[in-house]
Amino acid sequence: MAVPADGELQELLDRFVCVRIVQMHGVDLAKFAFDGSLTWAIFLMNSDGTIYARYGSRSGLGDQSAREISLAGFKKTLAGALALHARYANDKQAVGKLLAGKTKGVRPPWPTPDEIPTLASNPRFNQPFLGLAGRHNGCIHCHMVPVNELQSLRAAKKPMADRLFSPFPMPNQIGFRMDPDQAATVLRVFGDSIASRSGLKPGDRVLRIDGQPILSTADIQWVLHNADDADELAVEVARGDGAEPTRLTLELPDGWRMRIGEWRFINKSLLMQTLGFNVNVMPPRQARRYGLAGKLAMFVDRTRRDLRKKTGLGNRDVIVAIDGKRDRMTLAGLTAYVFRNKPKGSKLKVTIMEIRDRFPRPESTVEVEVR
Amino acid sequence: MTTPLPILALAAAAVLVAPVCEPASQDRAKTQDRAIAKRERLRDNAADFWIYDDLYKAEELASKNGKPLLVSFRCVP
Repeated sequence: MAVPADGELQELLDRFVCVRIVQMHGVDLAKFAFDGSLTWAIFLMNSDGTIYARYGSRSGLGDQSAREISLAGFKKTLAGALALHARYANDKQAVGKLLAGKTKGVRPPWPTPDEIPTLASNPRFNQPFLGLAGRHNGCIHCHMVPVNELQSLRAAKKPMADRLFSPFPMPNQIGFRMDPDQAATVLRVFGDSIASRSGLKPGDRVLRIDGQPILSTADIQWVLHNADDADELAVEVARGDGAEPTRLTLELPDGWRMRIGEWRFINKSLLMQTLGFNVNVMPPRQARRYGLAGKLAMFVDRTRRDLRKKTGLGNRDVIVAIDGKRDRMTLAGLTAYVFRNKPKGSKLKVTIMEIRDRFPRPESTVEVEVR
Repeated sequence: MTTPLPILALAAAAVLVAPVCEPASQDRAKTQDRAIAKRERLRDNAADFWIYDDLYKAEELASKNGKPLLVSFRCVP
């Protein structure tokens, strides 16, 4: 979006000072925390650092990448941020308090990407970025931040929080989808989910979660990203023509992050670098068909050539156990297991079930060296 | 003695293919030059609207004129 052609959008954008950051050198990661798997992230904020809203969400790759955002929704978020800016100008103390949770979250492992050890020690990235007219070398991309944070923590044998493997959870991962054409309106609620159990309904306009004003899906992701591993989040929604907001509670059970499915590019990248292959989690319907309902069921997505030659592990192989464990595992769960339990040089046992003609077949186990 | 057909075919192919088979390093440099030119074109086209890669300048301007900031993280593809 270089120069917008939409008059209404242009009018809204004219009321902001717009700055585009094209690389991550020197970026304050506490101030600008966002999902590194995104290709586009927006912060709407005051010059003093107070954040009014975030924008930019995706729930998959390829065709799915634009399901969560639209120009219509973006304009509404911009309008909401302008309204908050006006309120903040009139009452900095009260509005600042309201926005405190939006502005400050969990502290990142390192303050800037340049200080993350695996980037700081890499001669390709530990040099000054030469600017737009320079060569591409030295450009730290958004996705490199979470990948290198985890790699550095693993190398230093430091604890790795669940949120690092499953960052900025999407609302659909806890059972509700937002309308991309609105700022913060629930479009769908999926049955038997954290969201359905809270009482959220389609059409609900989400006003606040955990006390924070919500102006976008990205705002909801921010709240979820900073939630504890077991948490209860107070939700206020406007429902119908009701004058009073309806109050609900999102109950996040212990370990919720590791149980929700997600597509994150960073997990696939980390698995590829560490194991030589990455995976897709089998959809539930297919897992049921193969007798794997509620159990570990993943397709191999890509395999490094030498690994394929050595072990026979190939694309579309069905993995049913990791080190003998057969409990259901998400992409984040698998990455966390490998990073926390498998040091460099150790072996990971991968059990594959042969699928032919859609009937289950015998299993075999290969050993993969962990890098 | 006439040249065998396969050898003629190979020679013809070599003549056609040779101009496009430049050394890999020259390819990389040309790709980077095109990427730089593209970035500069994008920056110049949007110069009136966007501040590029200078958060301090943006914060200063926003503080001066009382406007909020829109900070976009988006690399130049």
